[in-house]
Amino acid sequence: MIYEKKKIALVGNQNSGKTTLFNLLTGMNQKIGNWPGVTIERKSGKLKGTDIEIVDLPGIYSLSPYSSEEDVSRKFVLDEKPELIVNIIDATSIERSLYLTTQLLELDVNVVIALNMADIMEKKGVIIDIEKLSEKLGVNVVKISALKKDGIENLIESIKQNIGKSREKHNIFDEDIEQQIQNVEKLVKISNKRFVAIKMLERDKEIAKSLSEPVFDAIAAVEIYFNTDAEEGFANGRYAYIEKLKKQTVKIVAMKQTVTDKLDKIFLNKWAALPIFAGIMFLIYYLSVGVVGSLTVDGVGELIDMFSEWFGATLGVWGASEWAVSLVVDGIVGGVGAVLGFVPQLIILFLFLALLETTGYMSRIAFLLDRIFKKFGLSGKSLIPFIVGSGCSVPGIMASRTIENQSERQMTVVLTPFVPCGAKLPIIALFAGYFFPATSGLVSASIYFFAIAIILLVAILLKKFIFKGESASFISELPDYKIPSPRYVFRDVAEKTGAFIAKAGTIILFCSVVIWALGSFDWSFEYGVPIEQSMLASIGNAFAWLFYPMLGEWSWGATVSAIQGLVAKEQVVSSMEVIAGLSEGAGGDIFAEGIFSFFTGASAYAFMVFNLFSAPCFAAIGAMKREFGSTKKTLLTVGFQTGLAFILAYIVFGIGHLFEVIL
Amino acid sequence: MNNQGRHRGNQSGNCGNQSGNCGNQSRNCGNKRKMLLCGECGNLSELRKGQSARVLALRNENEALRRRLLDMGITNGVEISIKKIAPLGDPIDIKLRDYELCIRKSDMKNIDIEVIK
Ligand SMILES: Nc1nc2c(ncn2[C@@H]2O[C@H](COP(=O)(O)OP(=O)(O)OP(=O)(O)O)[C@@H](O)[C@H]2O)c(=O)[nH]1
Repeated sequence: MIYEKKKIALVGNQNSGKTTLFNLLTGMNQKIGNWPGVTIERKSGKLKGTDIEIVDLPGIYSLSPYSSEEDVSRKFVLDEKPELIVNIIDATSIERSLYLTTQLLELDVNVVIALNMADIMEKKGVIIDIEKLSEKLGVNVVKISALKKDGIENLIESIKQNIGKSREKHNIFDEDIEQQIQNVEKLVKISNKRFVAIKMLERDKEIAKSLSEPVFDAIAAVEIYFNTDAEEGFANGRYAYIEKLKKQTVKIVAMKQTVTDKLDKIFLNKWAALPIFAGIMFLIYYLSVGVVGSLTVDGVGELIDMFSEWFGATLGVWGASEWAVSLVVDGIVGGVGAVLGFVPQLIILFLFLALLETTGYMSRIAFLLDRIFKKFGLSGKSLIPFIVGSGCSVPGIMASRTIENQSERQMTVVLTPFVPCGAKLPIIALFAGYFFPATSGLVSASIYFFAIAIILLVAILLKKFIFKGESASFISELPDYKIPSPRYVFRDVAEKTGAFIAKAGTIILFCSVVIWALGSFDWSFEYGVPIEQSMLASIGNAFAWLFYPMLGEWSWGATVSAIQGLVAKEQVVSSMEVIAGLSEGAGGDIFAEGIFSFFTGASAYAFMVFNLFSAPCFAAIGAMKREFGSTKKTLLTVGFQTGLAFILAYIVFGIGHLFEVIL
Repeated sequence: MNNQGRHRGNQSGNCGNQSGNCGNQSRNCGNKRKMLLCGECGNLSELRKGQSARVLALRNENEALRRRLLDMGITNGVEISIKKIAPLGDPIDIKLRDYELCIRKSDMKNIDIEVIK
């Protein structure tokens, strides 16, 4: 027994706390958020100290999936046959949660119910008779709080006891209906007979083909009894059963006004809501790039300069050859250091995003802006990928899975990379900080709003010419506000920052060395040529004409740097630093003199715009391909994005330059 | 849109007060009056903030959507009240079965109700 591999599935409504519990049971740190649809893929881990596999699944409201990520959950419980389902129920909305439970109880799998959110249950005036509920449902019910870590021991105990055990079937519909279900069950040859029988009676699309004459008779009988179509009849029947069950086991003391209602009076206020939202987004960028940026970047930059000088001198003393010193100082320390200087800003950005995600404000944003986004062919739900995407495009693109409507979903995938992600932040911070020193916060926030404007504009065009069709609906739960767990927020920020640093130490390091090498050798592999004659320069020169109209200068250096944005957007900054380090004349400051001194406000802004909208990094392109499921669509999208980036950058430079000439 | 459930002789006799039985056919419900009074029938999008109503029928033609609404608990006889309205007037946050759900007005049009409070 002990050696047998066992699987447990965590199944429950969206936002019921599955991932919080999963992290607790496995010791992992998967993404948690206070909005419906955070988990979009199955995640598995081991129950601490055992060999039992636990699988966290996307939240579902029923076993008839609505969007693609929900389908994952249905498939898992039906096809992979876990030994136990842990059904997580949000105790504060027990009526809706039990609907899914009634379906899970039709399967051949044993079920344990984890009644979650016990900590806020009492505050909301909900009192549940656990024993009675357990007796009526015929399964073990354990009261827990995943957040406060209460009752977890009991739950683990119950899991160990119930895993793999069989369970009494229990009937919840009226006699006549149960009779018909039994009749159909006899015709079912696969497992989960009761579940399949009911699905057949409901004419479920996936099994509708295999319906036979006796089944049609049963359907007719059922529909006459229900006096409506079977689908609605069964839904009514389930809820009728739940209402009865609730009367016997749950008491709800009416509440006056909850904290959530009070907060929503402010955050969803008719007049204040939109300004508050704009203010919050502005503040995030203003603070992270502007204020924190100017406080820390100089200090960090100086530190890195000092380190690189000292290190170079030390290497010299040790007798390292000239090229080795240059490799380390100009290539590695320069390239990697340029990126690491932005870690403080990123920490602030990640912190704000984690707060948006965990407090419940995210769902409000979707609710708030749905009307506007609907006009542009998107829905409020597209906002979630966009906001997640301002940390990193990859999870942002994946978050689009919760959008049910195909064309809205694909449009969101095309548009999400336009949101300035964490890796684009170094580019924005570098240019905004140097060229707009007094207003760097404003300028970086303006980039953000520019991105939104373009997103909406492109959305209209896409809707008009490519993704035609009706606009879909918007149905989403509005969760209560919750105080985020400081421990989770800390771990989340630490993890993302750690990933950024790790990337700097691997990919960025590697690229910096490559750039250093290409910039130090010419095509006959001779070291120490002036950088203008290096391989790098000739590669850049081949493409520099494309960038001329946005820079006002023939710059192979800016050209090769922008192209490297494909590897990772922060590599643009790192590459510029390496090139500046190799070229003569440029001192500690990239823009002070030498190769990049031609940049002006206009070309700086245009260059930022180009890097913002052009093809995202390979990782994001990969994510797009997974969502589209088509290489052709992906390439088309990337081409479109890059073309758009060129055009926008040209326009921005044109206008900006005009002003510069006049003023 | 306009020919669905829009025609109803305004006979209050059809709208049973307590019975939650607003005529036998949903098509009888939904007039164009600005504000529905208690006991009157209409569709969910006509319900005002603070009012409560009982669902009489779901007429959504989109099958997947209809299924979703049923799964979310919008079934015959369930009590729904309007909690919050988005600042731009749409979508609407409704309360039912002890939780809150956001839904667009255009989807609410296809849910017939009888006002009970
Ligand atoms: N007060 C309280 N909040 C909880 C509890 N468990 C989870 N939460 C919060 O509920 C929200 C949702 O938690 P998740 O674990 O992301 O929920 P999920 O079921 O995985 O959600 P999806 O991935 O959207 O399906 C988060 O804000 C959690 O912090 C609990 O026991 N008490």
